[in-house]
Amino acid sequence: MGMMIATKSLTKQYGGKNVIKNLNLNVPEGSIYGFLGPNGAGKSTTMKMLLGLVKPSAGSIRIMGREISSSNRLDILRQTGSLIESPSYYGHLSGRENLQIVCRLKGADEKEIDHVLEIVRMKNQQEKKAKNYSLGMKQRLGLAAALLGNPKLLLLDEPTNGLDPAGIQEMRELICSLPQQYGITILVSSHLLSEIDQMATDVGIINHGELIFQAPLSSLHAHSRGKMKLITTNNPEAYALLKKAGIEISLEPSSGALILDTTEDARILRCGRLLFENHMGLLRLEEINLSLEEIFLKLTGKQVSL
Amino acid sequence: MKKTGLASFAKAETYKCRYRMLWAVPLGFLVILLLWNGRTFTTLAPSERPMGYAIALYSLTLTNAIIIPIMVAVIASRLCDMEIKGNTLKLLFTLERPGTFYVIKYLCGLKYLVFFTAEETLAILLAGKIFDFTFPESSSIFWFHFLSVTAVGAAILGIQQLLSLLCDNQILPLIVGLGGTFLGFFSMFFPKNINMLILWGYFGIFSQGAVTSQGDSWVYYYTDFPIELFLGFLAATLLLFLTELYIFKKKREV
Repeated sequence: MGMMIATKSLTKQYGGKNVIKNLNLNVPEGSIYGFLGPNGAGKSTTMKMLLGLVKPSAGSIRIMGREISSSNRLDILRQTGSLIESPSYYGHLSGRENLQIVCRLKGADEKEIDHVLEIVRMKNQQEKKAKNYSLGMKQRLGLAAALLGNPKLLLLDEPTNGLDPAGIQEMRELICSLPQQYGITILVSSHLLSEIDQMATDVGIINHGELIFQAPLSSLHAHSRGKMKLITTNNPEAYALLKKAGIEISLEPSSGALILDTTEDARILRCGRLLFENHMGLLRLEEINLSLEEIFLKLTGKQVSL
Repeated sequence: MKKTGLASFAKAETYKCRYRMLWAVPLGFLVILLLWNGRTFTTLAPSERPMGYAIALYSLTLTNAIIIPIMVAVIASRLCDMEIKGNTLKLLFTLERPGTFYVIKYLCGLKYLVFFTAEETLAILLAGKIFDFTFPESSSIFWFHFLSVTAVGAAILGIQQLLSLLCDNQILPLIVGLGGTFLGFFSMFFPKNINMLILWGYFGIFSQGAVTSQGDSWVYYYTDFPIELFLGFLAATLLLFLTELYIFKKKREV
């Protein structure tokens, strides 16, 4: 499968400080790529660089196999749609009139407006002035504008920001339906892991401007290497014994339980044998799997937003 | 998808201005200007009518210095605040070059200014017909009036547009417009060398109607239009516009 977006050593400096460092982003064609990271990690800056709104300090960007330059930027971007941060709209014009402007700028056929309004479920509100729309409706109008011109790629920066739970659910459903129905590749950023978990097929995690993880979402789940929790008749003594025997073990501060950093059968067996030989009883043995939140925390060192 | 270009961007720009009542701005200021100067024309003594056009040009110089900077600030603000309020620049710059956007926006504002200055010039000619002013030796005086007022207004429009696009709050550009009015008006009483340093004061510098006192009475007369200075002013205006465009493009990261 080809890459819809591929960046090479993409870097952005502000005042001599690297905000984005050597970013090698690879967004597979037909995927929903979840671009995840804590607030201030560099997600928006990266997306703005992809759209040519911010000039990279170094590195290159390829979209649809073509390297972006100042001469072909608009030509390539005409085949994309974007929704960056807050929605863009002319408040004094109706939703339909806003889309007519985008049609003129994109060179899209105005007949497409009805179709995109249908996709974002806004047919009944199209004559209302955009300034009177709720935030959710403004976001959907932004998405409708992004969909004009049958784009092959959508870049959505935190599209559910500020929406109520119903709005979030609706936006999520919309995004999920686009690759299947229209073959659009989507790059969607969020600081909400749960959101990406429900939408994305691929994921990239950015922290302090560096891409620290990039793989299919299934691989992120597989990343959650399990651990074993042990409770014995004398945990402190058992801890000292296993540690002395060279086994990677730790004490859980809250419960005092022993945490074995593996699920490997041979090691578990060895632990059990050592405990038995030293007359310590094993009361509980429990397998623990890391949640996505814990993986995120482990990778970024920051508490994930939920 | 159809090919886009300057024409489609200009059409989109015009479409954006729907319901903004932008024509009401030059029209409203034109009404104020006519009411203001109409009183001067109607109260002219028959002995003053041979120099009626000189009086009109002198009188309009003062009112233009007061009205045009404010009008231009309002036009630029009305045109630009819809982009700022609607957060549209980041969408627009994925569809058109920032430079193209800036130039089209400027031309859109310029058409309202040209409408105003053209109507003002026609109003002078109409007033001359109605009140029977003696036509000057050459009609170029009216062309120069139209061109010079438009050029000074256009230079001010460039500054106002840049400020309106860079400021989230439109109060600052409007204050600059108002300040320009005061500066331009009072600069006419400064020595010419200082007056020439003030953009807003060029309404007075290019005025072809002048007045001097002779005893107890005021004598109005025509002055030669400073063509060389005007050409220099046009060159400086173009340079100023290019500088504004450069600043805008530099600050375009949204």
